[in-house]
Amino acid sequence: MKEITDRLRKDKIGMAGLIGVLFIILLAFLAPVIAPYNPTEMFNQHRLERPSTQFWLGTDEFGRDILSRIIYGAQVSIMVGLIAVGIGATFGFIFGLLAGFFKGWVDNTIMRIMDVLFAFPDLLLALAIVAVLGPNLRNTMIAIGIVTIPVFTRLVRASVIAVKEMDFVLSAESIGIKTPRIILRHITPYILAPFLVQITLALSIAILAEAALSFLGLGIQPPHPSWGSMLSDARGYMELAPWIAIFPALFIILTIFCFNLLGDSLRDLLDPKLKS
Amino acid sequence: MKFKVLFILALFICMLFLAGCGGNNAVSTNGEDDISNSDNNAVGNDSEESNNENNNGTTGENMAAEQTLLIAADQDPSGLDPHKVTAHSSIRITGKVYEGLLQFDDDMELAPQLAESWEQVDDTTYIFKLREGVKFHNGREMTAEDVKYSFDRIKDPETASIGASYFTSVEDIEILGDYEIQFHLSDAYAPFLSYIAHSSAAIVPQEVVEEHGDLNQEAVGTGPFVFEEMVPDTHVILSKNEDYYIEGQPKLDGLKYLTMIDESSRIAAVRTGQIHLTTVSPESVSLLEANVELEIINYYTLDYNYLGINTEREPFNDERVRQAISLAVDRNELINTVMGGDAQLTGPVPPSLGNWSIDVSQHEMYEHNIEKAKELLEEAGFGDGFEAEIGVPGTYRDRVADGQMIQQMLAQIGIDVTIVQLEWGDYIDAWNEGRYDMLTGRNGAGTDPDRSLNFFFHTEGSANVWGFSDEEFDELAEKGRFEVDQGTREQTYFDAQDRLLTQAPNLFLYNPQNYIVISKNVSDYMPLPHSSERFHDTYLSE
Repeated sequence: MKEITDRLRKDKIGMAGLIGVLFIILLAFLAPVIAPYNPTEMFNQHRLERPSTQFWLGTDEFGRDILSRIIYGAQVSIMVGLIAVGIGATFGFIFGLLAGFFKGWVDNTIMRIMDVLFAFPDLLLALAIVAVLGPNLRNTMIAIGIVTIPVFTRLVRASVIAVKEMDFVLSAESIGIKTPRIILRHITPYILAPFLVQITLALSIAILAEAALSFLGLGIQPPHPSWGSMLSDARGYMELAPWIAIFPALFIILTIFCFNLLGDSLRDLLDPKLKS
Repeated sequence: MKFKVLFILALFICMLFLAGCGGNNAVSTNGEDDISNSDNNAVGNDSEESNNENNNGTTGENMAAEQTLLIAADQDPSGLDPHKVTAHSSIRITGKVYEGLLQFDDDMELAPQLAESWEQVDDTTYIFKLREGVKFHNGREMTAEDVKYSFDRIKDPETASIGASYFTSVEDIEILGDYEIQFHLSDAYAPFLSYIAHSSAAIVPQEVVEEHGDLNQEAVGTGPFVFEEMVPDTHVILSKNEDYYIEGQPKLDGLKYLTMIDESSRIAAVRTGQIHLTTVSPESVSLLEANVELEIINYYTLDYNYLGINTEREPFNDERVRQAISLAVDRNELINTVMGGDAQLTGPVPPSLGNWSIDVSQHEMYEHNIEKAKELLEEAGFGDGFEAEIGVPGTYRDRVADGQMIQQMLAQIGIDVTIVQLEWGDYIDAWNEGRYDMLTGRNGAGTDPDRSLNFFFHTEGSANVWGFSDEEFDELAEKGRFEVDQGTREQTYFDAQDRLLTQAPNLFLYNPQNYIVISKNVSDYMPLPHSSERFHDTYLSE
């Protein structure tokens, strides 16, 4: 692990991504402390004001402070990202292990279900799930979580199958170590690296999906801010007050960019073939 | 070498700057030219019109070759059955294809349409004489049979027509001849004729209903435009009715409604000349005002935005709670924030309906009084407040904004409101089922106070989805319905409105203005509060 952090420190691009991600997470956790205003408070005398010293990023059509809304919006993005990917990764890991280790009908059943899930475009599937469960933040997270399960499942299954045939697993089996122990102690550590990389990438996908669902009115409900819903509200004011749209969009772009940078450099660092 | 490159680059940049400035100049002078040109055009139009009036029929040289009016609609039509549809997006289509016996003219007086003349024989009997030689778009002539069939269909509970409650008092319809028909009512019913002129009292051909089962995807009427095709989420095409019974109408060859839910795309489309006509929100007006190619027409509609309260649920079944909500909502603030000041206070009968509406600005329920609201909640036993849900239709910015503002206002008296955004179809279901504590929405108050009161709030009213039932109000609203003396009827409706405001099953938030943007070459078009799209005389000029 130390080796990885050392190498990450040398990778400037990866570092930039990491710093960006930490910055967003910090924003989210410190929102109540650093946000200048309450994100839902309406300053009726200050509707659609351009950025000023009083409202750093301007105000929206209700006179709400954009900066405060973006900061609180980061909470939503990070929370959705972590919980949704948490759901996806956990189930994906379990299903992938089972499928890869036991093969046969277990593998067949799990993977055919995953194929069905894979057959739907991500966003469409999430939309359908939210439409059935009802639009709110919890259901958005569940929906995005379900959508990310198949990717994790495939990844873990493929790794497990590769590892399973390796000598150290075969020898562990041959000396009679119990299956759960083999899975936990011998296989899991080995597939952790690609799994971690996938998590960072899935985080950015989940954040983007939340923005998209909120944009469509299916995510977090007004007046609570999310970057996607802010962008959606801003549509009608694109010309009149472009700052309402520009800043949330900028934050979405930067966040995704940082997560992807981090993910890419992690992949390079953890790939045994690229070890110099 | 390097210097040379730099020099050329610098030169290039200078040229770009110059070109930029030059371009701007050119544009602005063009702009000025355009203004004077269009002024000339306007004058030209006037003289052309007077010419037209002089030698009837020679609408000539000024007309553009292409006569299809392109309209951007903010919502897809939800079905085309004129007896069932309630959404404006549908009525704007069915209103062109179908006609009724009567219509409202420009001054909102009753005027003949498919009926040439009508006569009230006694308090409960009306005879209509139909226009002869009117053909449905399938070529068959319209007769008294069709009129009877249409009203039977409206009254048939199986049709679930939205207009059924308008005609409950129609007891018997008798065909007196091919072109004469008699309606017999059970009681004197004052608003009868204005309902006959309502868009849902359309005359439809029986064979088309039978062939297709219903009229949701098909439309065959007698109107000035013929239904051609409807592609969901894309467009609706109507073409000119060549056999229309009024000579020389319509002047347009067709109408094309393009569905563009997003306002910015409608604005872009009207700016670039891709479409001729669309509606925009008050905020966007300032973006279009400077454009000399466009004209903006605004008028007060017969609509109002409301907050509907489910009066069957705890704690909203207590009138004091509803009154507290009414007192906590600052309607002027809503007008300023949501509508940019372009709306007026309204009760259940909007001021644009003329004498029928009461002045609500002095009503005690319209005084924004947080203290009093808190006291009322206290009395009702909800001094500590409670939680509630408001459903809002997600595609309509104003109604979502209403919800958000009201949420803030109700928080001041301790009501903790959660907003649920709903997709349009789901919203309509929620409205019907009374799924939420409250809903924001918009109603068309209609052309007669009977609709504004009985239809929406009578215990038996077809659109009373709020579970509201108040004996005193029912009595007043019914009395108005059967009162034939205009003066007494007015007073009765004033009392009914007052009662309704005090009972507060709905909060009437504001009466909005509509903004219609048309390109300058659309001639002879004027929206009216009760019909924003009358295109009989409209044409496109060069």
